[in-house]
Parts: sequence; C-alpha cells; structure tokens
Amino acid sequence: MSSMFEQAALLALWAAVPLLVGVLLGLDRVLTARLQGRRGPSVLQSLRDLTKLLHKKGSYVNRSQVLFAYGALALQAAAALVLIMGSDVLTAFLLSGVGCFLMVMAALSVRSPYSHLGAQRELVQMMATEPVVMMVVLSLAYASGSFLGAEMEGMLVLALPLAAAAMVPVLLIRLEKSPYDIATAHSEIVSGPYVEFSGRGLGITKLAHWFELGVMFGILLLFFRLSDPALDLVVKGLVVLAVVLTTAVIDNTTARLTRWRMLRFSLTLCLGAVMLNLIVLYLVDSGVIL
Amino acid sequence: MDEPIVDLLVGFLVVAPVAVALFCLFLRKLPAIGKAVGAVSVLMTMFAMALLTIVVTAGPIVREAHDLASITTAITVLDLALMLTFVYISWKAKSALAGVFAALQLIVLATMEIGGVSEHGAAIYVDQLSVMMAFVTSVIGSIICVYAVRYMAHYEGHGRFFAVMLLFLGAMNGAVFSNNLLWLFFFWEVTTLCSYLLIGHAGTMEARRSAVTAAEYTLGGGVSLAVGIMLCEHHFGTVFLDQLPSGAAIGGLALLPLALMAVAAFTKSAQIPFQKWLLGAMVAPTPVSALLHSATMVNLGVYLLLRLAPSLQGSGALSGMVALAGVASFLITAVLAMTQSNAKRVLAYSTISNLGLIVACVGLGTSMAMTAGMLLLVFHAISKALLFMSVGAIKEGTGSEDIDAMEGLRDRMPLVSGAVLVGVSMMVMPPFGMFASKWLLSEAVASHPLMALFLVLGFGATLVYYAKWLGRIFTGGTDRDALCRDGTPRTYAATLMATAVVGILATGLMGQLLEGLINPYVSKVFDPVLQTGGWGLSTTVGLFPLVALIVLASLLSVAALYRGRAPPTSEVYTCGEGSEVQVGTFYYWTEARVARLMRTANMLMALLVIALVFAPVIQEVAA
Repeated sequence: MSSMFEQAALLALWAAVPLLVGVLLGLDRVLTARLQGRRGPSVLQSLRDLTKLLHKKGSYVNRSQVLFAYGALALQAAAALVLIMGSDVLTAFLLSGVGCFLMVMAALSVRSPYSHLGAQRELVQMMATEPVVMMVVLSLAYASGSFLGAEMEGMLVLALPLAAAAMVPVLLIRLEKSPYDIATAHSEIVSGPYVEFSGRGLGITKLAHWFELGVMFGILLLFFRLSDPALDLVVKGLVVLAVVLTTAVIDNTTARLTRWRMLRFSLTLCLGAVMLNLIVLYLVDSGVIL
Repeated sequence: MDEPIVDLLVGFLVVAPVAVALFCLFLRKLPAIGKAVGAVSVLMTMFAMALLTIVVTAGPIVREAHDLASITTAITVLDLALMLTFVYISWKAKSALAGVFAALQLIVLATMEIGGVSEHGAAIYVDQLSVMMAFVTSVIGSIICVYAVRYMAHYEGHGRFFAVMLLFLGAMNGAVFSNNLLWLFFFWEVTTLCSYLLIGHAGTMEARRSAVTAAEYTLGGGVSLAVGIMLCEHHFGTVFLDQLPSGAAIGGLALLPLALMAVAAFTKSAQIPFQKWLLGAMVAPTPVSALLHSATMVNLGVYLLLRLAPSLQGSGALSGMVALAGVASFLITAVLAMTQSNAKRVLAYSTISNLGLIVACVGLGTSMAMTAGMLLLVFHAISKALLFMSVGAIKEGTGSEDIDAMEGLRDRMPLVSGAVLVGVSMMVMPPFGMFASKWLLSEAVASHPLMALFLVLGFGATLVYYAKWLGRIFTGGTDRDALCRDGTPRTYAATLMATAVVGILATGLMGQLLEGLINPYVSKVFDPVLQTGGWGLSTTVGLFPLVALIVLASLLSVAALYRGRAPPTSEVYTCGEGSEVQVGTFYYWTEARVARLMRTANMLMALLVIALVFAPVIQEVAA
C-alpha cells in the first residue's frame, strides 16, 4: 500500500501532466524546426500559448459546444488521474475514449462545415487508434496478470515488443501529425474539430487533448518499468524522447498520407502486430511453443 | 413470507396483463383503454418490486409440478390451440414455410405428450435471474404501454393493439417464471404470436409481409426449441431447466439439445443470420419496436442462453461457437449501424449488436463474462426503450425518422433531444451500466485474443455511430435563434423521464443490483468475482471507480443545467462562403457494398450455426 506521501506525489504528478506534455510538444516543435533547417520557438512556447488562451475570453457559437468541451476535459483529466494513481488501466483508456467522443460532439454541435469535417475525421482517427490501444491494454493485462497499473511490474516490453511498437503510429495519429489529404482550405481543416473554438474554449479543448496525450504516453510507459527508481526515470525519459524524435522524423518524411490509408494501416498492421504478439505470448504460456 | 401472497404476486404478473388485455378488447375506446393500461402498469410495477424484494431477501420461489398439474394440462391444451392458430395464420398468409414450421411443432409436441414427460420437478422456479427479467419486462414494458396510449392515437384498432401489447408482457413474465421447458415453450410461442400481430398491426402490404417474415423466422426457432426439449427428455430424462446436467458431465450427442436451444435463442434474439425479421419489424408503430427491442421478445433469447449457461459451461467447442457467433454478430452489426441513415435502423442494428455481446458473454463462460452479460441485459433494455421512445416522439414532431432530418433538434425539441442525450449516454458514457459492463467484459476477454479483436473493433464502431447520430441532433446555430418553447406532449415527457429515472436509479444502485440479483445467479456456476467496495466495483484484476464517476457525472449534469451569464456568441466560420451553410455526414460505404457485406456475413454465420448444430454429432462420431 502506498503511503499518504506517495499519493500526494502522484497527485502532484497528475497536476503536472499538462506541463510535461506542453514541454514535450515544445520539444517536438524545436525538433521539427531543426529538421527543416529553422531555428524554431522556445521549448516553453506551447505552454505560453496555452496560458495565453486560457486568459482570453473568446467567443462561442452555442452552449452545447462549451459543455461538451468541458466534459471532454473532465473525462480526459479523470482518465489521466486513474492511470497515474496506478489504478485500472482499462478504465483509464475507456474514459479517455469517451473524452474523445465528447470532443467530437463538441465539434458537431455547431453548424459549421469545417468543424463537421474535423469531427468526421476525428471519428476516423478514433476508429483507427481505439482498437489498437485497447488491444495494447489487453495485452499488457494478459502479460502482467492484472489490469491495475501499479501491478504491472518489470520490463513488459520484452514480452510485448510488437505491442509497444504499435503505440508509435498511434501516438503519431493522436499527436495530430498525420498529414491531411485535402489541400484546399488547408489551415481550416488542420484545426479540425477545434475550428469553432477561440480563447478560453480553445484552451480547454487543448488541455483536454494534452491530458489525452498524457494518457497515451502513460500507457506506452507501462511497458517500461524498472525497480530502481532513478534508472526507471532515465529509461522512461529516454523512451519518451525517442518516441518524440521518431514521430517528428516520420512526420517530416511522409507527406500526404490520406486518412483512409491511415485507417487501413492502423487496423491491419498495427492491430495485426499487437494480435500477433498476444497470440505468440498466449501460445508460449499454454506450452504450445517453446 | 406467506405462501399465498407469493403465489398471488407471481400469478398476478402473468395473469393480470392477460386479463386486462381481454378487457381492452371490449373497451375499444382509446381513453378508456388508456385508463386500464395506466392502472395495470402501476400495479405491475408495484408487484414486480414486491416480488423482487421477496426473492432478494428470502431466496428463490419454488412450486412443485405435481401441485400444478391442472395448470400443466391447461397449458398443453392452449399450446395445441396455439399451434393450430399458427397453422391457420400460415394458411391465411400463404406462407408454406411458416405452415411447415407450425406443423412440425405440432407433431413434436404431440409426440412428447403421447410419449409422456417427466413430472417430478419444480414447474415454477422464480430465482434472481427470473425476477430481474420480470422487473425489466414489467417496469419498462409498462412504461412503453403508457407511452403507446398517446402514440397510437393516430392508428386504428386500439382494443386489439393494447390487448396484444399486454398479452406480450404477461407471456414474457410467464416464460421467465417457468422452470418446465414445456411451459416455457408455450409462453415463447405466445410471444411469437404477439410479435406477429403487432408487426402486422398497421395492415399495409409491407407490414403484413414483415409480420409473416417475423413469424417464419421465430417459428423456425420454435421448431428448434421444441426438438431441443424433446431431446432433453430423451437424453437427460427431464424437461425441467434446473435439472439439466452441467456441461462437464455431458458430451457427444447429448449436447445436441443444448445446441438446438441455442439456435432457438439466436432466432429470438435476432442474431445474424436470423436478423432479417427484426429489421423488418421496423415498419411497426414505434412503441412496438420499443417493446420488441427492450422489454420483451429479443430478451427472451438471451434469457434462455443465460439459463442454459450452467449446462453450456465446459461443453468445449459448443460454447466456443456460441461465443464466436455472439461477437461476430456484435461486430458486423456495429459496423453496419455506421452506414445507416434511419434512426430506427441504427437502433435495430445496435440491439442485435448488444445482444450479440450478451450471447458472447454466455459463450465465454467465465464469472466476469456472466456478470457482464446480466448487467448488459438490464441496462440495454432501459436505454434502448428510452431511445426508441424518443425516436417515436421525434417522428411525431417532425414526421421523420431520418437522422439527417434531425439536425438541430436540440433547438426545436429540447426535451426529447435531452432524452436522446441521456439514452446515448447510458449506452456509451460512464458511470452508466453499459460502460461498466463494457469494462468488465473487456477484462474478461484478455485471455481470448480472437474474441478481444472482435470486441475492440466493435466498441470503436459503436462510439462512431452514436456520435454521428447524437452529433446531428445537437448541431445548431447560435443560441440567439434557439430555444423555442418545448411542445412535447405530456405523456411522452412523463414516460421518457420515467425511463431515464429508472436508468439512473439502476446505475446508482448497481452495487445492490450486483449483490442482490446478479451475483447470486452467477454463483450457481462460478465464484462471483465482481464485488462492491470502497470506490466502486472491483474484481481480482481490476477496479472500476463507480462512485467517483457518478460524482463526476453529477457535477457535469449540474454544469449542463446551470444557466449562467450567456457567453458571447459568434457566427460560424465559413471561409468567406456566406452564411447559408449545409453540413453533411459520412456513411462510409455505398449501399451496394453494405448489401455485399450483409450477404457474406449471412452466409458465414449460417455456416457457423450449421456447424454449431452438427458439432455434437461430429463429436459423437469421433468418440
């Protein structure tokens, strides 16, 4: 059982999730800039953007839009909390999935063609990533014998290398890196479901998205756990850095992927990889092979 | 508890709806019928609650068959009359298939009666599962009947309609109280008759055709059930559900009756490839759809499977195939629901999908899966009733069931839109029961990679089709030009709210539901693993923070109802295209492609069902 102090530390970590994700995104922007031969903004730029947005009043189209956005934030934050407290990983993932659902609802609740386009694309994204991540969570639970994050011990990546690898394309999609396929009205489409938000409302949706990324990175980090706390921290840091670097490189070398190719890729290769991994593990456990 | 009172409660829930049904035939006038229906609804709800309390506190109610010999005789006579009615209906409708099925049932029944069946056992056995089903039927079914009083004002033949609706409820209750399979069969076939009459009620060509299709499919299932019962008597020497041997003790040909009864359950629950009748049933007035999809009919199939679970447990290939049939139905129909534009059709597919999950739970045969299956059954019934009744109200208000036509309904019909929001939330959002059972079932399949694959894909699709529909209803402009006065008729408002309250109460009392009803039934076969405690529900491997989620949901609801300072509003951004914008939606696949997928799915699933029936035979030959 963890002590009061540990609980407080975990709570602090949860509160720090937006900061960590913000820095990570800043790092990603610097990396991308360097890859493209630019200097790029400061690492803290994303955080500054967010604080600025949260202090602006902004305007809304209607109330449902705002409510759904706050709902999305609440669920994503709850998901991150469940994950960080070492509780049920599947619960955390399902809560985060409903958070995405509410974000889609927020985008659909205004009569705006760009917002709807963004929402429909978000739905395709959900279809592409949800099954993969859920399968990853199930394989984590199968390998460790528990759904509780706190009980997932050891370097599970050794038993589940393919499942861990499948998280990379998922993160690429969830980081909204995958290039879009309609060139016209490019910028409107890129802002996708967020197009009708401004000021604080936009800040809320951003925060929700950051918590969601926190959950996704958190699930990835469950694959890497060492008993030595210092070493554990170093390994986790390295993993996150490696993932950010990989996604930046992939993003800058693959232009013009379409959403449908993404869906097909994710549901065949990624899901296939996790399945293969799980089945091999299953066969090993039941003594069929090895 | 005094025996006569218990007898009265059990008898009332079956006989009272039937008696009022007959009364309705004489009343004819809608206002008078409305009063009768309202009165019997209130009584049924109260009696169902009383029975629930008795069974939870004092355990199952058992009535021996030899004390009820006269009822058995009456049921036999009525059964034969029912079969002859079916023969007559098939002849009138010129359906050779239905006629053959009815004749086959008659022959099987006559053979059994002549051969004699075992009579030593409990004819009535009301345990936690029965009382849970009876509660769903009596409470949700009653609410739907009250709702129908308003909805049917535009239709004719009120006396007949409400008579059949109430008879349906009585037959459902009768079926779940019966322990004697022959009794169950009788009530099963009464529901077939009721569904035939209700689907064909409008009297149009299409309605009559759909009714005949429904009769053909479900009568076919009835044959499967009848033969299954006959083989039960042959192999196990009993027709009493509680005396069926456990799965580990049987093998080979002795599994055949179970396989046949499973197929019967598939037809009743409209699993692929038997889904056609339920999709056709959409032509019926909306209250009928609500009743078929939530409180009655389709539940009977999965109820029978849950009853057979102890025998299916450990039957190897058979339960594996049942599980596969369930998850495949779940996934295929979830994907199909994404491609539909008619709200009732989306709901119909989602019913098949959710029942597929329950079937999969029974097939999986673990403690967690069984618990998840029973939770799903209760919460699916409640939310599906709410959604169907909302669609009915929308249809009356706007004249359309098309999802595209529901755009901006939030502004035009706020109350009904709110009901749809609550209904969809109950389907996909925490803390509601469907979300909890989704969590539980997913934890149960972690060690079944193939099942898990079907599930994760299906869950993704489920979120998508609900998002598309709900999003359409909530698509609106600025609040300035919104919120006219709500014109929802009072009956609709009351019934919708009542259903929502039942759903919310059931969620709040999920712990009690588990400990009082679900775990006692699950414990007949397994050690129940889902416990309430501390923050919510916990299993040996996971934790569901029910209490915290209820608090979170309440806070969000309060925020939704709170009318603070109106935020500054602005028009939507249209990239300079002007203010006349239209938004569309995606259906992903063309109709031709959907039809192709449907054909392939039907074929593969038909093969699976055939394999299911032949598996015991092959097992016997192999052994």
